[in-house]
Amino acid sequence: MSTLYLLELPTTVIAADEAAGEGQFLGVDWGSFVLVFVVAFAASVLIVATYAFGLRLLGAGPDAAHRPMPATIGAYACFAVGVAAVLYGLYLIIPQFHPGG
Amino acid sequence: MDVLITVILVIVVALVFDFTNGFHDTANAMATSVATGALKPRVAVGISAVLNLVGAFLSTEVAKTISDGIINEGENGVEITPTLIFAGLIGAVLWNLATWYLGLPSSSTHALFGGLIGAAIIGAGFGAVNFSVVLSKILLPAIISPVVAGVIALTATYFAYIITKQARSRGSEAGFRHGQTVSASLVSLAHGTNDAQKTMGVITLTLVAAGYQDAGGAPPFWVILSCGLAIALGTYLGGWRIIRTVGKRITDIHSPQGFAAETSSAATILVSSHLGFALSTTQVTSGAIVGSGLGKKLATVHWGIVGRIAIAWGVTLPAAALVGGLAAWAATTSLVGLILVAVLGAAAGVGLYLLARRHPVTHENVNDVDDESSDAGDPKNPKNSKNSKKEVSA
Repeated sequence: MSTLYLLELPTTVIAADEAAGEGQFLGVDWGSFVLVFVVAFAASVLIVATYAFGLRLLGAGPDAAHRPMPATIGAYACFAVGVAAVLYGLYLIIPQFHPGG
Repeated sequence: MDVLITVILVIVVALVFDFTNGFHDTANAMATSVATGALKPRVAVGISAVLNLVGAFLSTEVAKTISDGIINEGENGVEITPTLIFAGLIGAVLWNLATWYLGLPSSSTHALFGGLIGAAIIGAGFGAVNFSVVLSKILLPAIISPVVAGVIALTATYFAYIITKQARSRGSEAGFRHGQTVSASLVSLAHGTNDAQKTMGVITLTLVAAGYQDAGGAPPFWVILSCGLAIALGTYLGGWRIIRTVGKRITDIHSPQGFAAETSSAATILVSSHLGFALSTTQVTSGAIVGSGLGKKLATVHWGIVGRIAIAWGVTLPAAALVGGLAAWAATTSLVGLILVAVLGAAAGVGLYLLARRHPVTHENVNDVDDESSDAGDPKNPKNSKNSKKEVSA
């Protein structure tokens, strides 16, 4: 696969894209693309769904003063997932938190 | 002396580019928050501006090459002179202003690459450009990014509505608005760390090319500060024309959709940049908004607007390349040519600004949807624009 790839494409591609290797087509690393899609999909759906579930639990009971205790606990547990995701997002955005990479 | 004048011109145009980048991309993070009323328009752009400034200071690692492999730079390739960088920046700035005038979100990074490609072709011929890298780093991601973000946002929106009984459970609308503010802020911060840094890179590499700074060094403090301030100012002044398109015209966004779209955007951008498959912020957020429109029952996505945005994306690179090429052709002739390009560029920019003044879009009328989109708008509610004006002033 990789030999064929080297034979078929003009040399500029190889010079420009040193990381060319298995799983590449049209210069795009489809393996890492699929990984990005799967991880981003799972993270987004998980965060949105738990946050929505938290809101639903928060709206349980006849009014805010008479919300069942389990619903309150569950709601805050759901929001904790969101808070954790935000903190992890900040960790990823701010390079000072991971000087190595 | 010539070199000094060129370098000064590059720095000025680079900061102008940074400014247009800021006000072009305010829409990415804040359009949905403005549209749903999660944040007042002025507050939204204020938060975004501060986060862009903070982001500029957080990340100051400069790229090794200006064009990221799109142009054959270095020993065996073209020498990208300050004049060519200047010409490329002119192309990028004018394209950014033209798309702003039309109210279309388009990638500032692609405009910059387009301008540089045009300048490099004039400077050194077609061989200077790595078209395979253009394909893999610009064209394919431009198709992939919005689709990926759209699918993710569609699914997230669907679940958000299902779980909260179509957002009718008590307090859910308000709750989604709070969540949306947080995820939009993350998008803003991520934008600041990426985009201000690009201009810093352009200025630093120009200083290196002109011999004013050692290669491989960090950008000087004044470069970081001025880039941060330029992008923050641009963000604060807000490209309201683009905010209106993204927040109101693609689809009428409600808070569950806004939350799902911004959260999907933030997650997609962060995951992609940390797993080594960087996607464009503009394209991810636009795709996510279309997805959030498709994910809600009975919501309409205005495909006419989506089509116009798609055309703008397709034209971005060649259009900026054409202007960049013309600018490079004139600017490389002589110092007079260079100054002439600067003057003409400034005149074109001012011209677009004056054109825009004839139908100004500001923080006050950003949520009004005017006649132009009424064909695609809600026919049952012709007074839509008056109603939304009340919402904003309330």
